[in-house]
Amino acid sequence: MTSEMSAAGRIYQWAGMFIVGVCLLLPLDTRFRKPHDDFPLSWYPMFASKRPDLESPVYAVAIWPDGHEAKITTGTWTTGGFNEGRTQLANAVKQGKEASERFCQRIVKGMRGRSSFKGAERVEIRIAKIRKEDWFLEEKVPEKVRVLRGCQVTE
Amino acid sequence: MTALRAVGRHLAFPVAPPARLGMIRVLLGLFILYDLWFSRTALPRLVRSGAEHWEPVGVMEWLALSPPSESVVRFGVYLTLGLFLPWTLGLAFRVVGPAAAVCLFTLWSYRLSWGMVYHNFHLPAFHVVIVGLMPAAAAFSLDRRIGGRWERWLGWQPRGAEEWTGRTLQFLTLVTALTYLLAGLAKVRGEWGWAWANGQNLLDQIGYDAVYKDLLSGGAGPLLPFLYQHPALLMPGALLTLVVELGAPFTLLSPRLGRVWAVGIWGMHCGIVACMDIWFTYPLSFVPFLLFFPIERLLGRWGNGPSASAGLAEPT
Repeated sequence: MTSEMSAAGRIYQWAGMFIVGVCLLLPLDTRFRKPHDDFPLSWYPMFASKRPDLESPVYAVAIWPDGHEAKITTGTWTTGGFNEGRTQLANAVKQGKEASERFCQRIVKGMRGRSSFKGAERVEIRIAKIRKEDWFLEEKVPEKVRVLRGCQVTE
Repeated sequence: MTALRAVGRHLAFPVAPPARLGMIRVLLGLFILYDLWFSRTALPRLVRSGAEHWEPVGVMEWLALSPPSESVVRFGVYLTLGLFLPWTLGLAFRVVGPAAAVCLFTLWSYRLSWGMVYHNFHLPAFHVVIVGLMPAAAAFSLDRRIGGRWERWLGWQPRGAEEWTGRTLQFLTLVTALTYLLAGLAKVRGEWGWAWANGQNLLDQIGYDAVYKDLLSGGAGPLLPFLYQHPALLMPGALLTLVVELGAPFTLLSPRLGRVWAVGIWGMHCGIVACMDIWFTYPLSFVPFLLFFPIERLLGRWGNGPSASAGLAEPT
């Protein structure tokens, strides 16, 4: 036989379940609040949006004097993980020339001391047009590439 | 009728051995300790992203806080680590539980305020807050081992430990189910509607993520070309995803349904790892789904709380 909870205990638990349950279900009603990402309640429709045929990724490359290039991974400029690094780079580009120039310098700063970037003379932030099917089934070559910003690597 | 009555009883008067909640508290604590220990140096360095990337969420947004300094974050990390040690041991839980929950919630709010809200933080944050605010140290705890001194001193000896535990597990189930239900509803209410189940959008999402990984990370997974050659293979995966996400609320009806669902949703997360190399560590650890399993029986004789290993009727 189990002992019974007090009435106050029951109210405490039911109230908690009701409040949290309602809060969690709020995103279903988009009349008052547009979908957006947040914590601890997220309005973000993960994996639900339509993707365009042509993706337009923003990325960064290091360039050596002989023209040889290497990709720069997000770990160079953030410890916040791949998605955070990707978002920060894209946001810097969206914010305009000054922000993207500052970001380019931040990438250069992150490259310092890394042997894989030894001798690199320039960093470029680029945007590409990529058709996913071609990218994965044929050659990994973008349909179009545009340089958005560039900066010199200084010691 | 008997089955319906059992379901009704389970919904209205859930009971469970306190040892189960005790073990969940211990495992949740170990998970947080593991996660914080391995991110203890990376978390303070996020400050170096610069104020222009500060997009506060959670506590940081509610209190309109500007980015803290690295040393403040480092202090917060070690304070939270320090609190999750007694949390895991079940020491002074009346104080430690809420304090650890508040610290972790604040720390994770900071963590997610740098332009990217990672969704793998939401469920463990809710679980920590719920477990931290409930009497989850009635078993597998030092509080019990030392004769309940802390409990008596802090006045935390609620009557009806089995009912407290049952309702807390129901609360955890509700939150787990709703988070997955929302993810499922977002898919079928999106531009694709029910056609999401044909797998095309899933392939597009996997491809989109993989293109970025090729350009900004270690590279896309080896499965990508194969998936683009055989897109129809993703249809069962997409269908199963919708079934387990939209079917999540049924876990409230019985632990047996919960166990089946837990295996399904865990399989979905394994699929995400295989196709996208995205590790939702909390669900992958299986800790959030252990509430459906009589895990207390594994260590029953070590449980030291009331009815620690008592054979309470397990609703089916």
